[in-house]
Amino acid sequence: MTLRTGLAPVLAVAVLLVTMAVALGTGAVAVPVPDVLDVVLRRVGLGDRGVSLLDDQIVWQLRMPRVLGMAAVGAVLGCCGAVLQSLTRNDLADPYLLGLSGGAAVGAVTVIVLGVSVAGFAGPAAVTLAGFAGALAALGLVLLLAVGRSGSLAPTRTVLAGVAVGQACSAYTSLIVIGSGDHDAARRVLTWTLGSGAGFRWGTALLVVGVAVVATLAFSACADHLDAFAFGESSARSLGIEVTRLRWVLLGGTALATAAAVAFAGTIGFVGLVVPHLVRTFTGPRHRLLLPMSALVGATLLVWADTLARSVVDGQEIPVGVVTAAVGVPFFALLLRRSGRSA
Amino acid sequence: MTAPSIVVDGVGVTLGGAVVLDAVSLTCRPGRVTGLLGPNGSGKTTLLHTVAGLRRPATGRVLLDDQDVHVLRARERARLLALVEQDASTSLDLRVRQVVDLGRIAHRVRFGPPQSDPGGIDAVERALATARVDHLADRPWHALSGGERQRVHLARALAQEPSVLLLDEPTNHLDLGHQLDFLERVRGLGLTTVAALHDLELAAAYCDDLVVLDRGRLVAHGPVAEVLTPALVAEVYGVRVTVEPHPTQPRPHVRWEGVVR
Repeated sequence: MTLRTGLAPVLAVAVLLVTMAVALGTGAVAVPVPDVLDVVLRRVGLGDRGVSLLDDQIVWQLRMPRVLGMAAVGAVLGCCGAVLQSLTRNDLADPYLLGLSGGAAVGAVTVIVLGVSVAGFAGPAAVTLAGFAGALAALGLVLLLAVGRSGSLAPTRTVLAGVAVGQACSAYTSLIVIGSGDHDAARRVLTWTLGSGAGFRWGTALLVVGVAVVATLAFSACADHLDAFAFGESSARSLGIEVTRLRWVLLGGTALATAAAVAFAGTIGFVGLVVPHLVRTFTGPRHRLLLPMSALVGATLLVWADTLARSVVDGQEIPVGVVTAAVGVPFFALLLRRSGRSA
Repeated sequence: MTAPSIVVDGVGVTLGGAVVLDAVSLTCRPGRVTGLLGPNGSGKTTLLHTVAGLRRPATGRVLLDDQDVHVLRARERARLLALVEQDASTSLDLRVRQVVDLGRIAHRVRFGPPQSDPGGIDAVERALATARVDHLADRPWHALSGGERQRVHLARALAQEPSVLLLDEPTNHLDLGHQLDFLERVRGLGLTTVAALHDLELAAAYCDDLVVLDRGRLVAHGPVAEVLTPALVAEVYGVRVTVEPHPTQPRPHVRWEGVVR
């Protein structure tokens, strides 16, 4: 089953928009979808059909930043996962491959547990900044280890270096949390590690939306170049690809986009791993369709997961990472069974 | 560019301290098929990759007419030279036409859409037809036989519209009929071609010139009849052969007798 190139993205955008409308109406106070649409239309200046102030506050001020932010994070994770799986020719690659989640956790935990302020910021803003800085520091360390004296960026070495740095980061994180003896801090760290969209405000949501749009367009422009890796590295070279330069640019680009996502929403597992595999089953492996579709499907899935996370249990949020794993694992098992049959 | 000559000028390559190619110099005539012979590990693949621009030599240079291959950008190189590698395969679920289409990447505007290569669709169809795989165009790659895969690789190389064709043991794993058919097809293209081969009989039948490597050194170079002698085969391969005129064909016939003791 292969969908026509033109049809699939249109369908995916439609599904994403419906998902967002439902998500905006779901929560402690339910807002019917038509009212949601009225609020959005009024706010973007496309008609005023009289909305209640309460609905406007809930939909536009409270829920919209979170829904937009999580859609953007899902898009970044889905698209970056697809790029990294192709670039490393490794089906298990995900956006956190290069030690990014571990590094971000080091930064976030340092702020959460030790109460360090960052560049004059304290609280959530400091966690975000420290997470971003930690992710970039880990990335730098991974690249340093991976390149070594070889001067090139071999995929296997890069993956191994990512694992090593990730382990070191997790050792530090555990030590700080256990050493502090503060149970509340331990709980907050765990919550951060499993991800949450609760921190999004309009400003931060638009920032991440910007990152997601730029990243998806930029990576999609490299679609041909990623296709060329189908038969391996020297084949890509002989097809006219500057392999080393492309690898640096794409690894750097995916890392920056992922670091931004992690900094605002924590480490949300499984989206970046599962979404590209899911999308490939109906788009095929060519990147011109795979990359934008991974972004759209990633966005849709994460908005659903986040909506479940904040509405399944009354009056309490479960971490979104728990939802993505609970949905992702059985789904992944299904994909494995299918691919096992065809192989 | 019409088929250029290839000049390999004093090319030396070292890998991890070992000398893999030692000051190799040779010329491949334009539009002719040059067979690259030598035992396993003699440096055939390294030489092909160096000519293809994939590996930068420590010393020396490779010229296509007057153009230094290693000065060109990867995209420009891909429009001049195409390489068919040994046993290149993929785990991705690609169709034959999509594999052949990979050859057009270097013809598109960089980071541009397929529409930026107006001749692309025709070039792919021509390449499919020339390599005689047009009837397979919509088949999945993983459903092809070894012989079909090799012809699809040839089609992909032809879609690059190159002037030079480099083939690394293209007839490996092919049955005799497919071997003859493949080389016949390549000969008919009129491109400057270099093919690494193991089979001396095939080399004698389909090549104009031969190049023989042994442990990274050039040991012989010239027209088939001059290069393919019992003394050379005994020295390089350690095999006793007789070389005599073929009973029905205008080419030498190689018959092996045994290992040199």
